[in-house]
Amino acid sequence: MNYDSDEALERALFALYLEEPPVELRASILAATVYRAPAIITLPEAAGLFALLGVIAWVGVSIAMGGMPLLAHTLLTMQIAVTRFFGSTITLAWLATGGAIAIILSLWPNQPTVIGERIARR
Amino acid sequence: MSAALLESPTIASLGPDPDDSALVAMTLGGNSEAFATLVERYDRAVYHLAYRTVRDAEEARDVAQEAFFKAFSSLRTFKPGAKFSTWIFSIAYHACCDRLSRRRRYSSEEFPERADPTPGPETQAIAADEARRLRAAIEALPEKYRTAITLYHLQGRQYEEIAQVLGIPLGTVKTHLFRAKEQLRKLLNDERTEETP
Repeated sequence: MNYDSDEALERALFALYLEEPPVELRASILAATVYRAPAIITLPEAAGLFALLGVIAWVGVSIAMGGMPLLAHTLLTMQIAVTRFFGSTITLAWLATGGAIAIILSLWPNQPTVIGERIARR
Repeated sequence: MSAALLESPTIASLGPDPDDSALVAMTLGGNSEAFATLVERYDRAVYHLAYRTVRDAEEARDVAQEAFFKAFSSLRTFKPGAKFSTWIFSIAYHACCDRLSRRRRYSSEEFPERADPTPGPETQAIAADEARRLRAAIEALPEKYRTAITLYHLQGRQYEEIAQVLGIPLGTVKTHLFRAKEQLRKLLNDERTEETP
């Protein structure tokens, strides 16, 4: 066939049929989208609930094993340890430094990704 | 409020050929069947665009799957007045561009600049042979022309939609199509001349 004329080429192009996609394509798309198993949801409320259940279990076991005096003693020891930890100036300074770095990084504009996308699109 | 209004709409209730925006809205409302209809409607065209752009069946399949996955994950960002077809083609085209740029970065392989000159078997029907020649010639075109030809001639998309999908001005789409046809004609006629003793 000769394609010298524009019409002949246009006709031939419009007459070309689309290739059949692989037979499993649709099934794989659906499996990856609408029929995908839901991801494990880790809501803050769920995490809090688990923590609360853990505390209740720990208090229950402590009372069962040594009664109220043991529980009171354990709580007092923990309180002293926490007070000592947060009472240290060095600890507080490190916590403040870590917090400040986290805030700065979260506010930093994501320039490398944007540039990377533009390069990829060229 | 009547009970009918409280019921969530089904695809059947939208008529025999529901439009894409209604299907998107239903998907956002939790109807998975609506998205399956969109997949059914566009998977072949998306695969075809990907295949023509990346020229590899395996990669084209991955691109099609990736495009629908991205569309499904970010369906909430889809603008209500926009066309779903333009959006999904655009996602697929960008996925193709990413793959092509990665391929160019990591491989020194030269892409073919000429059509495959291997003749088809003589027993094959003339029409099928012509189609094969034409496909081979399209595959030999540079990527931007190949994609424009695929969207316009093979998928019947309008200039405006192609411009949006490719992210180029309308005039450039027309120029790409014009040059693509010029190169195709040259490739096909050169091949014909070489075959003639």
